[in-house]
Amino acid sequence: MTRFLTFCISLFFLASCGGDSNDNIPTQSSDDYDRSKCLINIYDNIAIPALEDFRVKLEQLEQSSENYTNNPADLSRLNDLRTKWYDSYLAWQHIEVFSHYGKGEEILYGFKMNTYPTDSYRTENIINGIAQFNSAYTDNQGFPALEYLIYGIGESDQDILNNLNNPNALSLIASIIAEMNSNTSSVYNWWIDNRSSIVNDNSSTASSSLNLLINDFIYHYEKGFRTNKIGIPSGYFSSGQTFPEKTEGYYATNISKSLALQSINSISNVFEGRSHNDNSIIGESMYTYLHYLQEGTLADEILTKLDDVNTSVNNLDNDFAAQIESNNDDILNTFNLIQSVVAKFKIDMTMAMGVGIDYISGDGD
Amino acid sequence: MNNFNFLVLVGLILIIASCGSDSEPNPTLLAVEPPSTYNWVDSNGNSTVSFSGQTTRSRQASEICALMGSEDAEYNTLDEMFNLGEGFSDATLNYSNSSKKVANKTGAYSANATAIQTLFNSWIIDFTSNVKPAMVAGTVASPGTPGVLPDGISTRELNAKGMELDQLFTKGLIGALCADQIIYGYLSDIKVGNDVSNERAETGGYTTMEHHWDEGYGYLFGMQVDPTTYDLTSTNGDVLLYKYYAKSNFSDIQMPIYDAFRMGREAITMDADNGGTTLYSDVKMNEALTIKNHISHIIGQKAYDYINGAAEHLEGGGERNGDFFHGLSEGVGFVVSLQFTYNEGVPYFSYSQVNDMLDTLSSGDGLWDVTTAELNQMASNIKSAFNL
Repeated sequence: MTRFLTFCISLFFLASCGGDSNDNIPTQSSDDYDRSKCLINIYDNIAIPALEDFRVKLEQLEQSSENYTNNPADLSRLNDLRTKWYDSYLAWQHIEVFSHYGKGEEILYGFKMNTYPTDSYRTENIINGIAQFNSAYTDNQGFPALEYLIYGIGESDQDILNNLNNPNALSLIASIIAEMNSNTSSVYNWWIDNRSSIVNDNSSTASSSLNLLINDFIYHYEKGFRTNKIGIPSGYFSSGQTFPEKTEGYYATNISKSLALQSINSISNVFEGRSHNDNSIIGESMYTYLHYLQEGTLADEILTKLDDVNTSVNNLDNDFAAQIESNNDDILNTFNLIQSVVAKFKIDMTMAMGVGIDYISGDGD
Repeated sequence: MNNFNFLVLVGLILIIASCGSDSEPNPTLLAVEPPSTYNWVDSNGNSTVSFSGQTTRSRQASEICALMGSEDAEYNTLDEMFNLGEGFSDATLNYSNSSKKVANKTGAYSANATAIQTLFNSWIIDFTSNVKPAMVAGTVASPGTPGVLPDGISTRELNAKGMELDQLFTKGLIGALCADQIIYGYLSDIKVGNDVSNERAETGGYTTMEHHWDEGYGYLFGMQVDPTTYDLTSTNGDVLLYKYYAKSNFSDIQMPIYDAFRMGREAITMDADNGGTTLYSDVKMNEALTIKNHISHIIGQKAYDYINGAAEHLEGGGERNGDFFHGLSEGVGFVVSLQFTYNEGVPYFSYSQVNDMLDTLSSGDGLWDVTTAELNQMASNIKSAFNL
């Protein structure tokens, strides 16, 4: 007993004085790891194939919407549009992880494609001829705005067909999809045009390719995945007040889990360096970089935890809004699991790699 | 048990003794004595006070509010000004230059932010779709019909409910923008609590915590000609909180609010100059509380004054004329603002209580048929809640 107490007190003593030392400051040495190998793998085997896949899906979405517009009373055409919307939304989850990088950051790509909840009030105003589509409104375009039109604008399918059978509504659908396509092309072309400057950058300065990519990756994990998909709707950031209506895919119902699973898969793939087209192929990545830095334990720990996150998400209701209403504790547990990886990414991994975090968590002024 | 106590005691002594060695022994708390004006400088002599973003938003709001009563108003213009921060006559205010807009800070800390922003947007639509065309056509306002009514040398432009929408918008923003940002944002734990960084960079400048406090100050004083102090003789175009702060019926709290801002800032700066201690945190939080209470009082008092004034007008046999609608519309705006006040951690009136009042005021023909009894009841509720 006495020994134990002495031990505790010693620990307490050590902990309380730890702040004075510099043990926690990382040594900012640049290591010999060939960062461009990591960049080449992420570029060639993950980002570009995902973008190409997504572009195909968006083209199909556009064709389906044209087909629907030609006969807007036809439910089967609306259902095809819904299917194409869903397929491209799933594919988008593999783009979102790169959406704040380079050109994407410049044109607010991620925000324009997937800000939810969408501003349904403005959408109604556009349909009623009061407002017009304007791509400056990030919360009035992209997947969520389209979703509101094809799922949320009426109680029944017949109501929806009736409400969409209006020149303003049809032209809004076309405008939203055209904007999605045009932004995606501009991001894709930027990636293609800049391959050499992206991948041949072996430096480790704050503006180096890998530093930026890792920053945007962690930002996406923290904001796009953790906060938006889970944190806000489950009330984590609002003292327990829940917002089921702020889940992703709220109007379509039953798809929030599928979207979140694609998203966590995409995050794990990028971290581990798994090829987009063939998940059995693994290349250079943050994971192998950590191993190179003798941080294999950390690398494996992150991977295991990401798997745990995947399992935890998979155990939730298909519809997060329903999950929040029925058992919000489960989704909060998932949040905590996701949160436990944030510090590993943001502190442990970035320290090991000498990557400074270039964004702050809150909305500054 | 005795053993246990003894060991804990020894442990604590050890901790205190060993940690105290390289810091000041028992820091003595100094008196917090702020400069006489709101002005602090770093060791290079550069000012560390900055709230340009708040000044920008207040100026944007002034321009929007003015357009909300104008025949020149167009939906797209107002919509873009409010929601995108674009299209101002002074281009430096535009979002593309300032990165600031009003809508995303309207009721931003409320759990019902989206609904509150939609309410403000609905006024923009009602004004540009219904009131403005009636103004252009010269329609006389009547129950259910938007139009204009004379009020002395000016005219009042009313919607179908007898509400003057620029008044709702402006007085609503006093709470939704100024009070919400100050009370639930910049002077709250999330912005100036002890977890917020208060360490000054070697190169000088402000600390994060100092800056947050100053941004709170900016939502009240930011539009003044000399914003380091306050001039009660001029609002300098500020139509929001400062306009009411400067009114003579608040003479007993004008200096206390200003002094509390100075005291709190000095307390933060003293901690910053100690390397980011929290020795003066209690001072800061007490001053913050003073400010929150006083600002809440301004809103409560004005909501009461306008609602009660309308009731007295009707009781005295007054007719529902331009002056009546104008004053009561100000009251409606202040009622909206009630949900952003502060009473021991929560608003004096919740979002849903405010909505109940708005329902009473707008049901049927709205201000054309709201009864004296309804107005008296509302005024009495506000009076007793705020202990006026």
